[in-house]
Amino acid sequence: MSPSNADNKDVLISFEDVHYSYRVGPNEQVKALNGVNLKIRRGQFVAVVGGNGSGKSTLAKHINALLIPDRGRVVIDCLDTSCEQNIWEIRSRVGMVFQNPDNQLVAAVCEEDVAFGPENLGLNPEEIRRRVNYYLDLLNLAEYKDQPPHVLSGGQKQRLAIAGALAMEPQCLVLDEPTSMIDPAGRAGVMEAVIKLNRRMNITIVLITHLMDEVVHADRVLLMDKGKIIIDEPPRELFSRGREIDKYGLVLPGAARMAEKLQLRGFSFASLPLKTAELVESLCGQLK
Amino acid sequence: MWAVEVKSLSYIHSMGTPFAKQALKDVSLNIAQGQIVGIIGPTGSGKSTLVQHFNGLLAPQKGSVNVLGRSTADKAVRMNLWKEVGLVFQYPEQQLFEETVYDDIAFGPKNLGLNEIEVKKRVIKALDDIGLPEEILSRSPQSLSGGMKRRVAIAGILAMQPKILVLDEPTAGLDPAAKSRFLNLIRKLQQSTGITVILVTHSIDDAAELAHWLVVMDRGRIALQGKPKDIFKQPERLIQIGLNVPVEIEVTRKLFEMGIPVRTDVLGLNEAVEEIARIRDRRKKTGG
Repeated sequence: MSPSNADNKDVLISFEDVHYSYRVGPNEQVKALNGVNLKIRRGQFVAVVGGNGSGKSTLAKHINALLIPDRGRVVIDCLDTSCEQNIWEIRSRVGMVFQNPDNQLVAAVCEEDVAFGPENLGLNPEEIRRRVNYYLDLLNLAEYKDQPPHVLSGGQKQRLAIAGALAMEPQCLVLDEPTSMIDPAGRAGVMEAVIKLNRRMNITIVLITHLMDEVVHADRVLLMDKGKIIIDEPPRELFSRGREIDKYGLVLPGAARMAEKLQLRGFSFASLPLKTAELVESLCGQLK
Repeated sequence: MWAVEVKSLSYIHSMGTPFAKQALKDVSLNIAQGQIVGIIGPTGSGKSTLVQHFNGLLAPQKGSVNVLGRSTADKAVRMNLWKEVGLVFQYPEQQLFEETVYDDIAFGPKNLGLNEIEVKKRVIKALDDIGLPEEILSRSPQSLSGGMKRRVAIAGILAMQPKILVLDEPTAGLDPAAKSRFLNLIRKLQQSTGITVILVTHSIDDAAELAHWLVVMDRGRIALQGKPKDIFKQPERLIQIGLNVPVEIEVTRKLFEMGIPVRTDVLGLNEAVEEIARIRDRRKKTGG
């Protein structure tokens, strides 16, 4: 096998010069994607950032064929999204989780909610049971399996939505601001789950977020502006650009902001700490 | 006179049914006029139930609520509070429905029975207060960006010229730049109009930046209240409730746990950085 073939097999998501406009009035269009080129390898953790209206959610909706490009091509695991007979195959490979968990939960009891997807795949009852138990357990929700979803907190509901998406055993999970409506404790639980899925189960993650403390967990950050990807690099490189990131409406993660101020008082860091634990570790070394 | 005066308020949702749930337990607080007050707590802590008592959506079951000097136990008082207490729900932009920005902002004042000239005056004033240009009045609200839509929705409430403005999670879903612009705007609005602002949020950072007074809720009770700098002196309590603490407090606490004798009651990044530098300089001097 030639190296380029191996590369192609490794690519799960591919965008080639993708354009998309929303029709907002009889003669009015808003351009949301303006020539997006992108390749995401299997098992990568990609964060997507950018201002409101920069095209992040539109990009996400192209990954599982909720939207089809006006121009250009989106290919998921060698399947073209514009081909109608591919749509169900694509959606079984890409699970989506949105901002508001209340809009995504469908059943009266938690375990039924997780079973909904596998039932629609026509799996046998033993396999459905296995998946329901496995994914509820994975997301730390086993004790709620007989409970109605409305008794759950926001973070628990969002983890239930993730369990439901995972029960289809997708290769990729696309999360569109999954923590923006939940409180900090709930947020931490959702992020822990996402990191675990990526590191342990090698599920490809596309995470759209405004929270820089979530971005730091990604292998790679895509910065979108006016429907284009304008920066594509690891978080450490992005945040090392200093003041340049202000003009894209981004801020440094808290630990990095503190590290910058410490540098002015004579502390030094081999590379800019992005997480609190990194900062604390380096400071301990310098204070002893 | 207090803007809001709450005495020993308790509230049970679905009282007398098997789904009864205690949402507020013996809550007492006073909100002074012309202040910005942050009501903070995780999901389910009772924040929304509490503020729904401020504009007459809920009547007290036990205890009392006085708004601008009048008791909301009186149905006639509750029925008229919408004119004086503007409540902006989460994602208010989803509630824009008119064809033009003008009509949307004018909806409230028209319902107050004002004549056309007065309605127009109020629309222009509200638009100015929220920092939007007059050109957008003839546009469709749907053609605006997310941040602008949110400001139009708030202008619709301001045009009623309420004495108290309640904002529920006003920065959820805004990108970091839009968020900081929005918080500045609220500060300016409060200073120029003297309105009382009540900010309901689970982001203690946002609240601390703006508010003169913070009320922290935990499972239906008030856990802490005071000035922001006094609230941050109790980080353990905040973490235990499920709230986030600013990064500098997280870092100094961890350093302290690792045996470095750093003060943990620092307020703001600069103070934390000075404290850490002080420890370093002292260790250098003593050769330890």
